[in-house]
Amino acid sequence: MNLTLSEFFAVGAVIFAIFMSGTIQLRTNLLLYAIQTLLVGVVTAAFYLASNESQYLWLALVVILVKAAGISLFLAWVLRRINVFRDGATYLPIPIAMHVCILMLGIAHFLADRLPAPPDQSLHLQAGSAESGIALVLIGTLFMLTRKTAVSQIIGFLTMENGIYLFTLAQAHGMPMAVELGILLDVLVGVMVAGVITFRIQKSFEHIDVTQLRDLRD
Amino acid sequence: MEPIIPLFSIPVALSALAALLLIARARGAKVLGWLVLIGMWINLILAIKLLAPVFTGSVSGYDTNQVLASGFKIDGPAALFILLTSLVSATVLSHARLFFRREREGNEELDDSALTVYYLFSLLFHISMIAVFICDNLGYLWISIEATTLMSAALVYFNRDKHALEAAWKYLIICSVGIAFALFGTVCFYISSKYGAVPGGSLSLSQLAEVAPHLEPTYVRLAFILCFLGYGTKAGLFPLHSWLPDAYSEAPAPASAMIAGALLNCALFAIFRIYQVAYCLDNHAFYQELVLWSGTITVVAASVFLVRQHGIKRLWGYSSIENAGLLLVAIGLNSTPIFLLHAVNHSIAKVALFLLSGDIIQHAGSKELSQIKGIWTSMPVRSTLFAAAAIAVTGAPPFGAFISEWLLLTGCVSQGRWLLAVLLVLAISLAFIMIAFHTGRILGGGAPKEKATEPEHAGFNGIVPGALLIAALALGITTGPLVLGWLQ
Amino acid sequence: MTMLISIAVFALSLSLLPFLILGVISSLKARWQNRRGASVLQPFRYIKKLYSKQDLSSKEASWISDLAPPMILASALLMAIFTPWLSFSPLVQGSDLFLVVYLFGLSRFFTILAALDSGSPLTGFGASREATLSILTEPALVLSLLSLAITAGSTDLNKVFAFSQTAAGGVLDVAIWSLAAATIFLTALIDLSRMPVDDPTTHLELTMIHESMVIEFGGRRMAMILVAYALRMVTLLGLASQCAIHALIAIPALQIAPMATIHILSIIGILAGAVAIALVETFFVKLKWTRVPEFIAYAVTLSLLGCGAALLGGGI
Repeated sequence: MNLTLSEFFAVGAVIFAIFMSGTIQLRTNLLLYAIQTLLVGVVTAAFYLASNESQYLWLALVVILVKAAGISLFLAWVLRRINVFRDGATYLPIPIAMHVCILMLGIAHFLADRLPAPPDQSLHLQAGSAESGIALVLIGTLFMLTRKTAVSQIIGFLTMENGIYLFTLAQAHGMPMAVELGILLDVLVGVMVAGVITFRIQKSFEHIDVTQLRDLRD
Repeated sequence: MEPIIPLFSIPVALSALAALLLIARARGAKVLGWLVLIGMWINLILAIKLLAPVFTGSVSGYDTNQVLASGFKIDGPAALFILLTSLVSATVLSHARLFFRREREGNEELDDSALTVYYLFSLLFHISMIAVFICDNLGYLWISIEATTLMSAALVYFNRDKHALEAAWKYLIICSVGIAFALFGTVCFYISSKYGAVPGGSLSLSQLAEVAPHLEPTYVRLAFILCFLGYGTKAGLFPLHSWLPDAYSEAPAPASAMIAGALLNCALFAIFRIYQVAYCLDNHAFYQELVLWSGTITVVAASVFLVRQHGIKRLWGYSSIENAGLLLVAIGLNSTPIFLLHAVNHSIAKVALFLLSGDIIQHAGSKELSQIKGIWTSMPVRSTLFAAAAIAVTGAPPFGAFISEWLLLTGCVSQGRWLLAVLLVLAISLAFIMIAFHTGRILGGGAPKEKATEPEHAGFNGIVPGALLIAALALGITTGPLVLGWLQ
Repeated sequence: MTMLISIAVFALSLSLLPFLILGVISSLKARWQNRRGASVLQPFRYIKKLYSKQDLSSKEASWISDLAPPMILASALLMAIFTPWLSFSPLVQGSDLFLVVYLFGLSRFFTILAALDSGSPLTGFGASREATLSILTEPALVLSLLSLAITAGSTDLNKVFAFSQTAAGGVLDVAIWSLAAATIFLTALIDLSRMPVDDPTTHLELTMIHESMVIEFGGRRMAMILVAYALRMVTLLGLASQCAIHALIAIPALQIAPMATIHILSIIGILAGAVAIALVETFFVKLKWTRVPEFIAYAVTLSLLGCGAALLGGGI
């Protein structure tokens, strides 16, 4: 099996996502998320080199500027404002979480093998890999399930979103530009809203452990 | 004529005004309230005028290939839902003015800016919901539905207390994750169309339905299941419903009326659209069973949850889940008229019910069912209306929901799905009994001793819910040939 | 003739590099911490001093304490000879992956045994911590070497590090080799009780691992343990740098590097590893003992990923 450069970067994004689940320092999580997103952007740029369609270059720029830089800086600012830097306790011990993430990568490989081959064969090796996309979605889901603070939930959601983006790029060479930009806008606004709510949670409860929000029930 | 831009013009202008007020920190909530009231009714009339050709059959639907990027379309169901949403927004925002005026008497913190924020996000919410219905493109559909989540999260957080915070957080995260799966599904639809069905791939729903037999089977199946799960989360599909009662109960009454009356339809409309594509596939039996059974299970589960409830608005939340299940069954039977009819009936009655519940909560000072008793003596007009609305929601005659539920059951039976019909009848009866029981306790049962509840004059407060109930009654009496012939 | 030269150069580096590395680390650390620090040659002097000192041992100590230091030194020396940690290491028959790993384990075994034998509570603490660490790190080392063995199709380390099979996988090869390099470097940090896991310069015996184990030794026996430590460090860093060099020359543009460059690179690589250790020790603090497993998990994760990549690359 030969690994192309774009697949290499895509797998790199997954590896950084795995590292991300290996620490409870929220700022390190954020940094690793930023690197992971940067690599996703690099995959897009690599695909631009292969396909020579300028929309991918713009997309790569937007991904790097908005998702990797903008959102990470915003969340870092949120963390500094609320003065919370650690995810107190996780449901899964950190070492086990990392190893489960590797298992996820294996499952993703298995699942991606079951999928029909991508429709457009000519360039598909230059567009990352479906397997990395699925793995990112699974790791993001696991991150959301095992972490407790509001900011980790946001990071997990963003990782999932990165995975879906990577999967789209690999299998369909991306959605139409208008749709991609709309999704990005929604994600951006969603992170802003979630960030504001995180402020409020810290203000009202003096912690951001969302698993302790359990007053409402039947 | 191009109807899309005029459809948005008034809400956009009003929300821009609200945003300006907010930025300028001006105290104009009262004027804004009046403007919104008048504006939204004009908007409704405008919508009727613009969309009338779709109903009379002179135009089969609007395609917008010329103006914007293609991907917007208004056909019969979309036009109906746009009218319904405009009606819900107009009625809710009219009543909201009265509701918040009373709310401000007891609550110092509810200043002009908070009200302006309410109007701003309600209008944005309205805009994003209208956007959902005009989308023919799965991508745009996803974007609009996620936008409705974001805008309504602000409404859920309106009360700014701990419970509102918890409800808003759960709502935002659970719905966003659900919607993320729907995005995955959307991507899979796109990929499935690239295997020769449409050169270059397509997200257009009408195009996908046309070429459905040529779509890649694995991806279509994946796509449908993921989209169904995703949008199902938004519709309150059991067991993904946990956010719904929380959000309904913590949002202020006018906001929950809007979420229950209009937002639920958005999610179901998305499922309806993708089911239309799936129904054109060769092996549509699988999808049909999936939708029918998840709908039925949702109805049964929701009616069981109705038995033990302690909050008045949580009760209506579960009733909404039940109705979402019924609507899913209607979708699964592939019977568009029943789906549309029931959606209209449920929305109208549910909006009235939520608005009245808001008044009752204000009057009793609590959301707990144990604290709300004997309101018959203190607010006779509105409690009569309340009882009528509760009955209307459960689908008892002579209200419109009875007709649609009856059609639904006969639909099940005529397709030979006896088990489904029996389960639905049992669940609907249980829901009816429980809602009647709780409503009876709210109306009668003697007022709690410590609170001296003096009779309250209904004033204008009964007008909007009363009008909605008359509409529900009229729908019940006049449905039948008129509506059915109209829609088919 | 070339054989003889290579053996001579190897012997020279084996006798000089270990001590130089120790000296480089401590003097760089001193420089970065705004101290003047000792000269790079200080470890030579220190060991010479230890050799000329009187050898004392505790009353409770048995013959094990006498046996352990030579055994530790011997296993470290054997490991240094069997492992191709320099590109010009002479080809020794039977330099098998598992032999190396178990020689490694043997030296650790004797360290622990000696620590327990001296009967001091502090050495017992250290021994128990060391045993825990070794259980946790061994998978990382074995798996990372195994991932290399899978791509080479042989557990003979001479064949693994033969600079021959770079054409196999292109980018995948780069990935496997760099993952192995990272894993072995992390393992080295843990195994040599360097900073994030253990502080080699701490003065509180309760918190130390390696230093508290050998605290009862002095004189000649301490010198042997120190030499063994230096040898292990240079072997592990050498392995890591060999992996890094393999990763570099797996990049197509750099494939035709002359052998001489590689020889020089392999020495520079070890020095770079020493600089990296000094950097880590300047900028990081020691982890809480309970959080050490989280750190080790990174090494294991990397090695597992490497194994996965190797299996994908056509191992099976």
